[in-house]
Amino acid sequence: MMLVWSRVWPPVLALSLIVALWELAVFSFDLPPYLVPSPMQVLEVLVERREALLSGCASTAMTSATGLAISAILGVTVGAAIASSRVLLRGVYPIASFLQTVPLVAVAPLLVIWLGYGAPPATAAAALVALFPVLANTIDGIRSVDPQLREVFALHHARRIQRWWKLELPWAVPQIFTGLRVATGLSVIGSIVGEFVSGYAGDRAPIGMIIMSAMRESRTDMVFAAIALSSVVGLTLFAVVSVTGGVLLRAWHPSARG
Amino acid sequence: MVERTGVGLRFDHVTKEYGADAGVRAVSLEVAPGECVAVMGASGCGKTTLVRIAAGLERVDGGRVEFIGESGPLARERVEVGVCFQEPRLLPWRTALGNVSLPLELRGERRRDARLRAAEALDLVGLSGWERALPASLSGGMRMRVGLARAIVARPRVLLLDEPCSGLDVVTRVGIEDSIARLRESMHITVVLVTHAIEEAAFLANRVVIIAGKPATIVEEIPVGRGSGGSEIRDSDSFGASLGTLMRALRRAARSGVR
Repeated sequence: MMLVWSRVWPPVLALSLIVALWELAVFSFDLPPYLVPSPMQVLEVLVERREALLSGCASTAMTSATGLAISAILGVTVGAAIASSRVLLRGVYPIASFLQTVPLVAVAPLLVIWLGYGAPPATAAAALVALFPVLANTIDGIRSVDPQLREVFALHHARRIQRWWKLELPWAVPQIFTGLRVATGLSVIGSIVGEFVSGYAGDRAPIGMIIMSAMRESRTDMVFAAIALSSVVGLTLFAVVSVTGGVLLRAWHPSARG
Repeated sequence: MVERTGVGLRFDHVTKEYGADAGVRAVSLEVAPGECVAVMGASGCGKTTLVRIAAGLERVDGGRVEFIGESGPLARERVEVGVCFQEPRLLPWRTALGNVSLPLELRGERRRDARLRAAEALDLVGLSGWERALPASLSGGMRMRVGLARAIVARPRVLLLDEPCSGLDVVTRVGIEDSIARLRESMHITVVLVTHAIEEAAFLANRVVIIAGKPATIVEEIPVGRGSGGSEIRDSDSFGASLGTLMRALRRAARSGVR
């Protein structure tokens, strides 16, 4: 219990200080709410518009999580294929590296053209932006397999699929989870950017659309509330991925101990 | 364990060179079925290279390695070869049992059968009760024993041991040596043992070859004449005499300037 508390109190204290300074700054400089609302005003709008915000939050969480899952499946399978073939590594990996430098904001309208409005392009944007860290980490993880362990498998005439399943994939798991942790935040970003261009209004409007509507109405407090909730989505995904990785790795990998 | 027909091993003018002055050159050595030959020599002289060539992990520049059965040479694929490396080389996410059963799983044996045989192998090396332990929770000596159990689990005809006790304390080393001696007698395995320790060579081997030079060749062969018996051999006069013989031979190799 003491250990948990010793980990919890520093960030809680830091957050409390930031909120207190923010409140003080708004009060001291008499900042207008359309420019910077106070933390209390953000809290008020969170309570007042909770139904719309929570519904939007759920919608964004769903597209982010689906995009993350797609990026995980694609990243690991394509990454494994690339890592096991020199031709693919030399041919495909540079193209993948180049594609990840293309700004998502520029690609998002294309996704709307191809997939229509609503959740599909937002999910695709989330998957697209989250894919590269998983892919790159899977490739690095598999290529970093201890050559001495490869020899053990060679000695016993292991087939390629056996080597992949019993050696390369387990060896790469710590690095795959490093990629997935980076991908959690990116999937929320991708999702919201996708929603900016493909979002739909109404009761079930996602966070991206809520932000756009609030901006047009100069409801900065609503924008802040939506941003806070999108962070909660990212943090939740991060926690789920971290806990899953911790459970899988705790017994044998130093990164998951202590 | 059932008595089986042994398989011998022949190095026929084996050459593997790394640059101008490293590796082995024209090494010829015959290991009879059931015999244990220890290979000794200075660090980096090419002892491990010989083991790696015999294991099929290294290609030769010249010569060949043959496995000899009752009716002549055997294809390598037909001979079960066990290798115990200098390092245990265990999969950290697998338990001791999982590591030992790996060679059988890779051969396509049913998981249940593989696990049963792995448990037997762990018992043979004195690790009964440690089946579910992960490598990180085992001592260095125990990890080496797991590596040894993995090398013998498929009941190899030929066992290649590359300094299986290096870096271990005397008690652990003696325990592992006793395990190897028991395995040899019960499974009638042909053994090639690479070692720096004359006590290990004198205890386990029937014959010791010393390699030296750049690239290395065999410079001396010494019959140690190990009979049957367990740990008590170490207290015998003949064991003491073997130690003296080996020490003198190693000094001769050093004095000859080729070491």
